[in-house]
Amino acid sequence: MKKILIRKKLLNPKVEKRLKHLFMTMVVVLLILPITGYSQEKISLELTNTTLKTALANLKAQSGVNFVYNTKEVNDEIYLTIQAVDKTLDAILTELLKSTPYTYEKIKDYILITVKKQEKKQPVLKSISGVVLDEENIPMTGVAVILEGTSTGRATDIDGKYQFGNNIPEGGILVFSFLGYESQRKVVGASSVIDVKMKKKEMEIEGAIATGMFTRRAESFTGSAVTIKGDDLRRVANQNLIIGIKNMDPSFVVTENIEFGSDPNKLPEIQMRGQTSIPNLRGDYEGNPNQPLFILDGFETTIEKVYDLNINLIQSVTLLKDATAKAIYGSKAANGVVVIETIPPAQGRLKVSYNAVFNINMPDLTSYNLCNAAQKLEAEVLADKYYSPNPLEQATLNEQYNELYKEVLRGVDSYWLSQPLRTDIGQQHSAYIYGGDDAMRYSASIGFNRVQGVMKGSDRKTISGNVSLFYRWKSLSFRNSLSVDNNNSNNSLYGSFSEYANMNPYWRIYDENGLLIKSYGNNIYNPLYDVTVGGKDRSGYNMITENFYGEWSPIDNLKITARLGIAIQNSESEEFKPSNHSSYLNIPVWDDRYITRGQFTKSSAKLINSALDAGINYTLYKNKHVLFTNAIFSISENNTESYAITVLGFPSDKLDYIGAGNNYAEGKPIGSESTTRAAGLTIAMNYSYDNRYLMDFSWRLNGSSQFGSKNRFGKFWSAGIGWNIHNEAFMINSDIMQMLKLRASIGYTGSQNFSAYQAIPSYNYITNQIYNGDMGLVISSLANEALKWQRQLDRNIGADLQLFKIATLRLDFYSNITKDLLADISIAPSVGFSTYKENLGETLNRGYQLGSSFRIFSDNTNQRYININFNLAHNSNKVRKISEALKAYNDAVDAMKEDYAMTNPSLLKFQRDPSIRFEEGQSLTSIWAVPSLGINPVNGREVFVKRDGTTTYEWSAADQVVCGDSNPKYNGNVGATIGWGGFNLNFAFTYRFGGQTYNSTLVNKIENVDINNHNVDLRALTHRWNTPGVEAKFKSIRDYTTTKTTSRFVEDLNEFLFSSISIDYDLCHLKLFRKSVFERFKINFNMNDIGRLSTVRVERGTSYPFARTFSFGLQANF
Amino acid sequence: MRKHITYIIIIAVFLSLFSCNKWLDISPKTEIKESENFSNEQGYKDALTGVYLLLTNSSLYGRDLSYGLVDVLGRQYTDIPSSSMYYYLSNYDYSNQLSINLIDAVWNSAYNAIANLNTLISYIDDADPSLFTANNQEIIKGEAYGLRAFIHFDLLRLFGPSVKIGADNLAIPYVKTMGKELSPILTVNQVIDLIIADLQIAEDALKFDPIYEHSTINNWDDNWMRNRELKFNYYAVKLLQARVLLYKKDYSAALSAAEEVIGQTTYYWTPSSEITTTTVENRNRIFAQEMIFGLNIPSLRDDYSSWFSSSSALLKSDYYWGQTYETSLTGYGADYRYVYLTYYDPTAYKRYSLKLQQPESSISTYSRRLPLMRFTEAYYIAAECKLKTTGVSEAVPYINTVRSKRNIMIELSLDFTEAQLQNEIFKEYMKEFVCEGQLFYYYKRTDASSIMFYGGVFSKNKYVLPIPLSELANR
Repeated sequence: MKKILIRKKLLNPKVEKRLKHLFMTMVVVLLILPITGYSQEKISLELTNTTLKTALANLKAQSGVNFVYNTKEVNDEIYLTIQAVDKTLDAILTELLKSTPYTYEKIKDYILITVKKQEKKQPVLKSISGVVLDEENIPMTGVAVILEGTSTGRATDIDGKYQFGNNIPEGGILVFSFLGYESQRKVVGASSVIDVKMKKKEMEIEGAIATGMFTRRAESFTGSAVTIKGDDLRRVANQNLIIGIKNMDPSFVVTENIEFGSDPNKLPEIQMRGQTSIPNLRGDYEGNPNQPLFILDGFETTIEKVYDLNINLIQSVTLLKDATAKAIYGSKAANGVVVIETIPPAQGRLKVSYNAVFNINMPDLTSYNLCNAAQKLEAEVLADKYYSPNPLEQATLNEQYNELYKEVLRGVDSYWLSQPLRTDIGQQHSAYIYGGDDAMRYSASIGFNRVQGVMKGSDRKTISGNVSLFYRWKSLSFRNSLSVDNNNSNNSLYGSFSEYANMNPYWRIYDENGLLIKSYGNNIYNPLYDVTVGGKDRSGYNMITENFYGEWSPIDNLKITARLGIAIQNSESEEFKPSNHSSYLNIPVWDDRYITRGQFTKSSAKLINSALDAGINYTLYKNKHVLFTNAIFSISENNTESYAITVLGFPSDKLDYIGAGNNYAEGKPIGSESTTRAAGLTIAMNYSYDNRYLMDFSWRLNGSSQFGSKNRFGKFWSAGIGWNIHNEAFMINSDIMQMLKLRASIGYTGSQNFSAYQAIPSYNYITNQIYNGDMGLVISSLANEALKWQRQLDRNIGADLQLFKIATLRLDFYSNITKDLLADISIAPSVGFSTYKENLGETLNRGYQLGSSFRIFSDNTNQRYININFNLAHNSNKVRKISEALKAYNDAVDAMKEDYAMTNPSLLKFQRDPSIRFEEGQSLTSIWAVPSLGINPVNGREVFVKRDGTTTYEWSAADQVVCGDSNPKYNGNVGATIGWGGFNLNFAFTYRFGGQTYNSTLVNKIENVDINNHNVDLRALTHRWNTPGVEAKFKSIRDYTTTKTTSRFVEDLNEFLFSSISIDYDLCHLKLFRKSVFERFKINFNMNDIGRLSTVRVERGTSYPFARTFSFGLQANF
Repeated sequence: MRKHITYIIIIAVFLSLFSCNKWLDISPKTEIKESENFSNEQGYKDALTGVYLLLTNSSLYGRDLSYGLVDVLGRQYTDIPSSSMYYYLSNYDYSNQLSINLIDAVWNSAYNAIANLNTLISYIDDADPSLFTANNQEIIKGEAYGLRAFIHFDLLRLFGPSVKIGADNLAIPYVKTMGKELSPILTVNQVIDLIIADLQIAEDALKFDPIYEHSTINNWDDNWMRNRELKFNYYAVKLLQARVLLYKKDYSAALSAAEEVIGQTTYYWTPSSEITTTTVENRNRIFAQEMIFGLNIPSLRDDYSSWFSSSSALLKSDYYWGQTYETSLTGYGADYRYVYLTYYDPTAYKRYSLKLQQPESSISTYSRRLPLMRFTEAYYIAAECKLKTTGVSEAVPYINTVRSKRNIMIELSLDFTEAQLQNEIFKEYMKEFVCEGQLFYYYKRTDASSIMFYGGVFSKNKYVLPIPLSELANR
């Protein structure tokens, strides 16, 4: 009793001192006399309503025994009544104190009166609940809450909540632990709510793995998944989520688009862990067949939505890479899964967060190396443009040359490249408010993002708003999130950038009067002219996303969840070319087509995705066993519909409305429709024993309308095991290794990016012909009712390490075999059709990934630290099996490559650039070309090596061999984060080594160039052969033949790219701001695509140039 | 309570999984699902119409199996320029890529039409009769079986060896099922037997055809039953039976089938006034009343003008036209088929066929129709059967009847030798079936050692067109 009292007092030293003093003065010592055998003496005591003090004095008088008590404890002014005759002292005392809260005790020679000691009763059991938050007040999921010394435990839910039933003793200690955070111990006191704020450990590893369906504790998870925090993403790219992920993890590969550069309206092409599917040659697939699955807040979403997502709302992004992590998505998961979670509404008083970013986009033309006017004219002379054996013609040519030469002397040197470009400021604003109490929380956000492309007039505007509500009532909780997005994109009316690169610099842009020159003869028009006539090339969409979550925990550790998501997107695009556009300039007035000049194409698309799922989560803690079990049943329907119409004949360029057109273009309206449905049952289990031995298992039954009716349901599974060696007795508290986890997984996933109706036997109406008045329909294709998903066997072995408390390492080896690739099978035409879709092909992707981070220096008190991270990935790809139909495709391409009569520019591309070849045992990214010995210095012709080793001047498709691989051997990122008294500095680099590239822009700017009409690379003048006997890298300048794929242009591509730098500072570190309303006032500066070291000089951004981005941002929380 | 809830959820999940199968069955909007299409009568009608539309394809009867490829092989054209895609075929060079493309397209399109028929047949055989108006089920079934036999027979005559020398040699697959499973390549005789079997089913079903004289049913679906000559009707089945049986050399059976066609009264001789009319636009060049089966091809007017003109490919020299119609003989020059169905362009010195010409204002019953089976063929078959069985004297009258209707008033003698009369029958095939493709099949059936108007050396193995490589490679 005293002890407890004292401990309580210890809480405040001042109070304690005062109490001690009181205690000393109040102890009353009545008398000090020896007592012997007093208990045997019979005494009597008869009192009525006498104080205890009097009664004791009476007894002392009779027995001679001293009484001692503390007046603080014992109220001696209470009135008592007693009738005792001839009793022992003991009996009298017992009788006397019976009705009081006091008792007595014989100590040596006196009797101590104290408050009755409570009997040793059971401790009070109570219910405890609470919320676990991290330092930023964000709820933490999966935190283990364990009653010390027992096996009673809970894990926090998605909102950071935990709840114990009536089983926690008062005075017990709850231990809160989470990987990467310092454990917290809380004594259970009077309150039944214990909220905890977790503090990060010095080294942060990672916490929970959000799989989109449920959350797993990272420590017990055996899959390969990488979680990137929102803050880290914003540090490397404050405008676009996809760039951010790319800069953080090398397995997330965004294909660099040499053609479209930084065009804000081109959606990126993404793949994870290599190319699994055969490229979309015949429209078998919808979109990019290698694209990973995107899950936003638990629901599948489009890449467009991810691309336009407000990065300030991101809580975390998790990349699910191996079977254990992604098999829960079954037939859609083979290409990997990207799980994006947005910030949920948090508890607290109303808070506002505001973000603004100003982006400066500057065109990056460093890869261009074009001739100036004088150089271009010189090149033309070398190319014999002004030479003719016919003297009459020669005279005309001389005149032409002299005219241009005079222009050059006059100083005409037009820099066409800069004409369509601009440096402009894009803006991004977003505001976020949130608050609420335990029962009800809310958040609302609004965002505006305007990306200004570097080509004049091209931009992309997104306005988005979101309202989230969270409501809890007893064991039920709900969350509702409604988002509205509006997007508007304009493409530049300046057309393709390549047109400007093609223009000769000796041509003036404006004439003497400052008017735009329309045409330069030879059907070459000033590309700036079309801008002056106006037009439209815009698109946009409106999207509404409604997500609802409900959760019910009828008993402890059991949770029943339900989710409903609906997304509706309406898109529209318009393209208008007025009648005075250059493409109509040479239609004479008497021509029938004159009236149909001007063209308006309008297209409209609608997308409705809905998904519903219901799940049960059960967590079992028993001794050292922890078992998480989830079962989720889900159904979804995706529907898209689109159509486009083209109208011709807009007499005036002012009539830029489709209704003003004269007539429809020939042919039918274009349209498509697709509906897919899917249903699935997922069961996932995670078991751990003593946090040492780990196991994951998942199974999914997946049904989809895209599969043939004979193969409606697919089963997918995964199994993973892991061992937390650091939790073994011999490793605990090791100074060298704080973490060592080994894990391995295997499992099947699928991919089904193919068109919706390939497996359904169906008829098509013949709409353009009738038979004697009757309509008819015919079978559209030989449907394969056994068609199924592509299957991928994923195998992964990995390890997670933490060394010397400063380094974390993550290593993964994988081997993925994709089977049953969709392929066209040739079939005997007597069955009625010549091809048939079958699951046949097989590819193999193998590789490894290393992720690491090091805390080189850290000084917490002064907020100083230096962190370095390094990532490396390697992937190799191999085709194991292909169909005959694809082999036939190779032959068809070869035939086209051989054809010398080719003039169609789109087909010419086939001859100039390497094409994909399907050969078993080769990679899909192999570069096929004819080996070349270079240019013969005698005649300037290229010497090729035939397959039999002999040399020839003739290019032949049969001599093509693999000359390289466009897939790098290694790629990755290096980055550093430095903190210094409130300043944060971040660098990110990406690199690739060991791959090749076919420098097609080089060959097309130096050799395959129409030197008479277009501007050329400077090297066409300086490095092409023109004197016999002089060695040259490029063939004769007078040789106008097409240079076909040759090993001469296969170059090793090693690259080191300075991809981003950012610096931020929180002004709240300044005294000035400390007492302001701001909790945080952060300013930052960020720069993207800063510079590149590369072994290859390639003209990048042919249709749309690349850009460098500088951005300034501020973030204020109050 | 809690246990109950768990059970209810588990049961609900499983129930919904079972009902999933149906839910996962989706109907495309731009296409009609096969099973849905055959859930009502209109679907059956549309699927059958679809086959007729496929037959109008230029690789099938819309060109190559009427006036195109087969007539080129039968040398109905002698002046094909070397720039034409038919040039190599007209010289029996089947290995040239242009020839291969044409031949492969015939094979592929024909089997595609057969696949469509097989799907229709598989559904109609088991269809619920209550779906159909009147006797439409029987009629659709009859037409489908009849067409399957019809297409297979022409494939047999192109890609199989001549029955005369290779009846037991492998010819073509007879495909009766829809799916990716291959049907075996059968011998000529086996194919013929299957054709005869299909035709028997067709004949029985088409006893309900309103065009059949002895049909006692009269509550037919009027609109669907219009223009029976554009559908594979009862008499088309009979005439095809006669064709096939003659090919099989079953003369008595062929004769009785031919006699039934000759004896009916629905089709009759085209009145000469319609042929000789001075209103050129109204001239009945296809002899519409005699057309037992033909196709409605809306684009025929344009197709005609692109293939038949003094500057086009499908030309026969004026001299050979003279030889064809024996214009040097007295009385033969008046043949309507020469006078009214060919045209000499005096400026270009070229003569070409007018049979398929479709002037803008021509009468609807003559226009946009491509004849494929003709009344007169029954006369020729009957004559040939009589010739082989009872002799020349009973055969001659059939030919004379035709000749008189065509305005050749000189009667053939009853004293002709068998060979002489056979030759007259051959001449009739040549004169009558211009643009109808039957002449080449005559050469092949009789295993003639030469082809008229072909100057080069003809080898009999040219009677067999090569089966496409894609077929052989994937078997």
